[in-house]
Amino acid sequence: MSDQDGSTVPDPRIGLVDGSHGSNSRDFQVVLDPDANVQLDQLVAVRNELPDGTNVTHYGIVTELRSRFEGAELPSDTARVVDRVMPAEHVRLAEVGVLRVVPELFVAPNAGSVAMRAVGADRTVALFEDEMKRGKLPVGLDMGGEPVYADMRFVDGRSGGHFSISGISGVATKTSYALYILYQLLETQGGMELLGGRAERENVRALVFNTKGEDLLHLDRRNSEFPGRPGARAQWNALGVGDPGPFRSVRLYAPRRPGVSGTVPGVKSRDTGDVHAYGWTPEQFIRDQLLQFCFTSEDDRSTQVGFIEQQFRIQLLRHLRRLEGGETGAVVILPTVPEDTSFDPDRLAAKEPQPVSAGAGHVIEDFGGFVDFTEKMANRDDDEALKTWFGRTQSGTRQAYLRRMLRLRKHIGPLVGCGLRPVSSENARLHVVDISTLHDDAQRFVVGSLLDGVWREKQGTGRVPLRFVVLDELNKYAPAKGYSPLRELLVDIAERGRSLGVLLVGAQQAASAVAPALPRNASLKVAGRLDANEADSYRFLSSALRERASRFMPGTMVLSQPIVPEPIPLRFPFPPYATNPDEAEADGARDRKRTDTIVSNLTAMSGPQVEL
Amino acid sequence: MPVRGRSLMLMADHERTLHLPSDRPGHRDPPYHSLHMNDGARRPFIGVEPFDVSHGAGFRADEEEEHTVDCRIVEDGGSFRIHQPADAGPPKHLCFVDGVRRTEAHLTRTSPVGETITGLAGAWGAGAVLIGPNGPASIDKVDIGRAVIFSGGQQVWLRPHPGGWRWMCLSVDSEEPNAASQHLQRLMRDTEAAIADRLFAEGWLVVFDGPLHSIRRSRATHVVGYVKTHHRRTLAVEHWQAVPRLAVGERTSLFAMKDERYACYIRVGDPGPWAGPWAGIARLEVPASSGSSQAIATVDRAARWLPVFASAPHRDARAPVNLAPVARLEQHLHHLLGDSRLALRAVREVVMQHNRDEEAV
Repeated sequence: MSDQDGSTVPDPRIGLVDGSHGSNSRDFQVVLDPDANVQLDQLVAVRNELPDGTNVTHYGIVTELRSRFEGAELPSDTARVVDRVMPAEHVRLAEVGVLRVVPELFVAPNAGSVAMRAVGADRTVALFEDEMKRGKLPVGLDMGGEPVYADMRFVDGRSGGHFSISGISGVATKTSYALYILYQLLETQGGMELLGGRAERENVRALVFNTKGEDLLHLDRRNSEFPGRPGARAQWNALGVGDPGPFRSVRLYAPRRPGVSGTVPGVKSRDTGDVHAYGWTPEQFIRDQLLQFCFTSEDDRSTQVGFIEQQFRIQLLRHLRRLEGGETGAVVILPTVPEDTSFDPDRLAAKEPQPVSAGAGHVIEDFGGFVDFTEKMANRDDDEALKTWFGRTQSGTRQAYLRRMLRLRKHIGPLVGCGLRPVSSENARLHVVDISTLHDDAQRFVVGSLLDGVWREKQGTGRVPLRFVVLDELNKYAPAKGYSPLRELLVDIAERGRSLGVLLVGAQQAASAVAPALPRNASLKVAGRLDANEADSYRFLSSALRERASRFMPGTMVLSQPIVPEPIPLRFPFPPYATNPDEAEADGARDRKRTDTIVSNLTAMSGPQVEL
Repeated sequence: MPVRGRSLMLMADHERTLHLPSDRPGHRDPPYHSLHMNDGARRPFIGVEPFDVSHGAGFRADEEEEHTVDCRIVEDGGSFRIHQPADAGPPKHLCFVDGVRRTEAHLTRTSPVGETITGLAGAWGAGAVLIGPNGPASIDKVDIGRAVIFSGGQQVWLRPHPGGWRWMCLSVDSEEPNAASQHLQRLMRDTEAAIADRLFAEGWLVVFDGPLHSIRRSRATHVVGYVKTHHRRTLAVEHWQAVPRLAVGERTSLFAMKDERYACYIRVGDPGPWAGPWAGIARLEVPASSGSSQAIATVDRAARWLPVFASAPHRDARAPVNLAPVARLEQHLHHLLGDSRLALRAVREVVMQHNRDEEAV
């Protein structure tokens, strides 16, 4: 019945397959031995010999545990048993969900077979690690502290891609988990090997949007609480990371400080020198066709406003000229263009605009300039011009479009202006873009513009180099219902991104609020603490796990991946990098240097030499 | 009654396993009716009677075939009294011993000349509930047996059944219709006694469910017989009538019974206002060999702690006198005897095979 090798642990036996309940090919019950110590999520192996002599092993995971007095029929019998008036046997049962049968035969384990802990080689087989021939990414530790792996083919887009992380805000640690995955890929020796070596890794880029406070603007700093977490280092070690530390290759971006012209980033918890202000010049705004991402609210696409935007966007491209005598990105919109000018936006965008003098047309130097130009055109009495810029729309529609532009002036204004630089993908692997201070409209504008940039760049280049995009609150950008260019872009990335190497690590509070294509196309589905009302939309979890997930503590997640049929609950270690300003370790050397400068300046002010 | 045939030991040495028709692909068995006809048979024919075996279980061998007697009171100067013993907890090593039995098939054996004797296939089991100084109450020392018993001194050996059923083959000389059934009862009582013997040798106080007369061991002092039924009068009429006045925890004066037993009545629990006067009354028996003072000490204490184990009316139709540990033990033993329908099917199959083998000789 059992040919246990027992080579790794002296007695891995935990009990016998329950014969009173009956087993089937999907789940069975184990009557636990009195001394067996078994927890949920424990891996179990049962070996059987079939009538034809085939040896078959069932690997499973403990999904529920029960305990009862056998012989007690009524609830009140419990007291009789405890008071020793009635004899009864205390039985403990473990429900086991089958993960794998080796060889792949659809049979039930025999009643009465010995159930053993799956350790060592058995554990590897139980979790399909032997099938992960193209590399395995450590995605966390199971409840027993052993590493759990995901098949790299489903991470890097070869067979699948995209993470979908769900869970309620605050306790589900969605962003932390996404960062953990990025850390494993981008900062560790193991990650480098998985990505195909040092050179390949240097070309990988990860784009992370910071949506809360300035939390993620400190990822390049040590976490001051890390040394005080007993066991965290050992957990990292178990996951193959010998010396956990901060992210080393990071570039930080924030919008420029509001109300200030210039390029000073609006950050409070970091030195402005550490963070790059980002934005787009008017020329980039027009040539990258970013106007479409200004209209992403729910109501924008249900009206003719979208049509005007499209018309306007193409006409801007057709009338575009560069302002003579400067590389600041200011543009001139000509009043008229030759009849034979193309209407193809992509061809127009690819063409370098001719420089003209300021007098040749309407000069635009910032977003306000676009709004002014729109207003000017909308209020013209010239039918031909109205037709050119607004199509044959009614005056009311034009006014609606204008109202929206006026509203956006405040929100998108700081992001478009002369001298601004967009988020570059150079010089670092991890790019953190702060959008936390922006209005919803502006957040969607930034996310749409940047994703569009990544998407355009990757068209035609093939899968490598990989681009990871971490985006929280996915429901805001790709809601379950409606239509917007951003939603369509995200759906497109979800559907085609894996073959183009654009891999989305999306997080949302509720999967039901997100466009269904996104969670559906995610190979790796992760859930932290779930809202009990929401649990219905997580079909990849068993009902017991859904129930359990509504009680998960922060740091406990459950991961579903394509080759392992049952989701595996796991934990991930405390980060060695700061995930908010409070955790960031003080940079003593830099502080000293700054103090020295101030002191020397003060000293100098009292003397003849002033160093400024 | 003398037992002929094999001992109670299981016959492990020369077992042959029955091969059912389904074990032999391609083999075509004669239809059942051709085996039943037995016309002109040269060999005896075994029959499994078609009636419901549970009808045969009504026989009560527990009843001692005695008439009403006025037993002699050995306490309180020979006068009848109701005692209110001081409070006492159960002993540190307490156990309850009981057994069950079941007739699983009624059998007949018809000789070539048409003489028929009766027999049965049945099972019995006995065990104990141990309540030690620590830990939960547990069921232990369980012994299960299964036998084919024929009257008239005839032995019939049936092969073990592949489903795990196997029978000792036994016989009794008597040709009384219920001789086999009485023998089954005897087997159960012997098993109970053997278990009780082992337990009081290990230092347990044994509460034996039933009268003590089957415990022959003279030096066994740590045993209390517990009798729930009162079909015959044991005391003088005026004393007998006073017994139902007992309250829970009280006992009557000790009296002497035959087979060197002392006995008294106790009330083990309140049966409720709907019950008759004798409901809740049990008779305790202790061996006379230990002397009356030892016996008095034992029943004094037992009268106080036994009510703890009385069963609740909603759990047990025989409450309160059927003790909770005993009820659970009986349930467990019945469970261990196996499914009676499967047992009957197994008997039929092996009997059919037996007749076929006999024909083939």
